[in-house]
Amino acid sequence: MNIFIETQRFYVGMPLHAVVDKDENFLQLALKIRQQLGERAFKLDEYLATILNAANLWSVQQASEEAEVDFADIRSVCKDIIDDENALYDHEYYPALKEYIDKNRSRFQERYTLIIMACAAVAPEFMVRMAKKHFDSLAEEFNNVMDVVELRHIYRELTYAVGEQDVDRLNELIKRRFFISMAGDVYLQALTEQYLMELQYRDKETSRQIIQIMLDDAAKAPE
Amino acid sequence: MGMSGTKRYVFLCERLTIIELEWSYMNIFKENIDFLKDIPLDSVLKADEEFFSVMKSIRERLGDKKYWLDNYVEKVLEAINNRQASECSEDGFSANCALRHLCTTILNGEEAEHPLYSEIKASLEKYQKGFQENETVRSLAIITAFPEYMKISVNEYLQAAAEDLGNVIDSIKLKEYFDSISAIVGEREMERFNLAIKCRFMIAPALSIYLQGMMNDYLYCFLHRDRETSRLVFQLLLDKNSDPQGVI
Repeated sequence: MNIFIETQRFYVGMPLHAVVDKDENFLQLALKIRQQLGERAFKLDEYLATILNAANLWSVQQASEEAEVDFADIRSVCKDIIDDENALYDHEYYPALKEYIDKNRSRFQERYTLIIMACAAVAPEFMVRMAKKHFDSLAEEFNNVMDVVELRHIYRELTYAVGEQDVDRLNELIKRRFFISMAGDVYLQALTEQYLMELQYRDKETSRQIIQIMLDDAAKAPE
Repeated sequence: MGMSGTKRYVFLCERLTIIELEWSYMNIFKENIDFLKDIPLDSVLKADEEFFSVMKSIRERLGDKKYWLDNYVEKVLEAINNRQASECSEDGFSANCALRHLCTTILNGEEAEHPLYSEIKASLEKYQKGFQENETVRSLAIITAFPEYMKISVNEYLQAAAEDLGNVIDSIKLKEYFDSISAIVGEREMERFNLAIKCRFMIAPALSIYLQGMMNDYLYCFLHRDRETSRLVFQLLLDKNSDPQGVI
């Protein structure tokens, strides 16, 4: 099957009914669990409040903006190296970018093409590193706002009281409703978009796209 | 928790060859990272390699006709990047702000033109009987209206996206390229290539980001604390649920 046969495939990732259906409401199940808990119903409320709060700690708006800023960093380092300013010498991406630029400096007449080529060459690996760093710092930030150990503790209490099946189902319904696209995935997507823009950039000298230049290079390179 | 539990799931929806997700089905909200991301980071690197290696090999096999593939890729990547994450999330957020605004307008006793106008008006009036604080009434009404409102917004979004994309790519031309290249390298190879493109460049599809953008304000509604009762709105919903016509 050709997965790009309809244009909708370029922006719709999942079956729509999975998101839009009202049939399985997490509140219905929450209510059932609450009734079973009797006097301990407040435990479930605490559990729900923590999770819903966590869902809003890092918004997709923030995530996409942060990714754009982080990616722009790589470009700044490239510019710095090309202009021999060395102000960003300490940057963790500096050595790899410097190596690439020094090797290819005389290859392109257009300064911007060299910048983009250097970024595109290192982007995949740096993106993953960038994302990892970002996620680690966010996970720490989460610790200041929510107590994940306590959350696990409440989870255990709830499962003892009403059984694992219902609590796991509740988790799944909450996830389906409130975590349609996780902010971390959106961060990666936004980094990817910047990378895509580089791949699609057209060198003014040769009128070729960066991705074509890269593949032509790869075809010439010995295996 | 630690019991049995870890199942291996091959991530379906066309990611078969590349991404294999592993997660505990026992408690999906176990670690901080569970609230941050779904897609494993290494899979992005793997997908990147796959994308370039498949493209390189198809290109070699096409010989003089390799420009077909270049043109195909140019169009597909353009289509994918047509709607960017920051735009989609902002659009989703604004869509939900518009719902809040609509509720405020109705609460102020003003008329508004919207397919859900009378429904929202009725639900605001219903909640006004039970709660004194307008902010609480509005939050409850937003939660009630949300599923229908989301359907309308998604339809509008899909229409706009289809129109936009229609200006950028010619899907017939794209299919022609797909078929001509397939005739030389085989359809399976092109399918594999499409899949690699999807895994690498569509980590979070535009519509999903749009919907997630809508969640922000919606979640605030659940977590708003009613000044009168000092309870969170979702607690009020669960407390009040003697009404079968209610949200639940």
